[in-house]
Amino acid sequence: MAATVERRTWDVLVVLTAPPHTTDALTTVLRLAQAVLERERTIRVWACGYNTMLTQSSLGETKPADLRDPATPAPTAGALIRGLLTAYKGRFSWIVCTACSAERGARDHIAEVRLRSDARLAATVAAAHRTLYIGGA
Amino acid sequence: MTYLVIIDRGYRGSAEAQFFDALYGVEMLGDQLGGMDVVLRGTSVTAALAGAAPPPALQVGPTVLTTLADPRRSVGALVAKGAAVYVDEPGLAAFGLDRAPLLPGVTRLDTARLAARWGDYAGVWFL
Repeated sequence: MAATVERRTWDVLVVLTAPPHTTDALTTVLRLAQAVLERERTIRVWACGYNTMLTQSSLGETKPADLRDPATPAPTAGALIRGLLTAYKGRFSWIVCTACSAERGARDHIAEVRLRSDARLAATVAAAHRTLYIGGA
Repeated sequence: MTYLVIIDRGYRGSAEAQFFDALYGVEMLGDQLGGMDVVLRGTSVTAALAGAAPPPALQVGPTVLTTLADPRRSVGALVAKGAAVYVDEPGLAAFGLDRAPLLPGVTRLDTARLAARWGDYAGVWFL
């Protein structure tokens, strides 16, 4: 009998293709993740399309200064995602689709995210109890 | 000479945009270009509503985001600078807000009628 490998499962998978800076979809996903994590559950986000731009290292920790209040820094989306990954290590994961990322020239990501080929999407869906697809790319 | 800026769509991202919303652009560019009048249409009509609470803080991991955009504060700032701010009456009605009180200094009208005055402006920008 062949040996089997026990695969890890996740409570929720969000496949996010709705682009940022267009609607409040990304904010909704971050709020959903926060709520799931506060309930001691696990969630991972598969970032597709333009969401792959958000975790580029070059974007840094803070946004360009608000010229009306330059002393108050505003964190980048990448810093928010890194905050979730650090605070909820092992229970939150952010996957960057390598095809979407490469197509947009986003090659250097923060170290905390996971890079995964779109050929692994079905396996990622299979590893989740619930999958939410938030489209609109 | 003033520019007329038409904003057809609000809510273009919160966590990723924060203070950097369309009205921030109007505040920054208006000063440089000699003034901007603003037309709020579509979902952006809600930026003109009076009596709304400030945006709630957003908790994301260890971070409490307090730098989210506040469109109503921006509209108030534009009015204070002397900009004419128009809010689209059919747009308000589409959300059941036709009787909702508006921020001081904001004018409610069918903004399609402003097309007759486009020629008075240095330019008309669809933001």
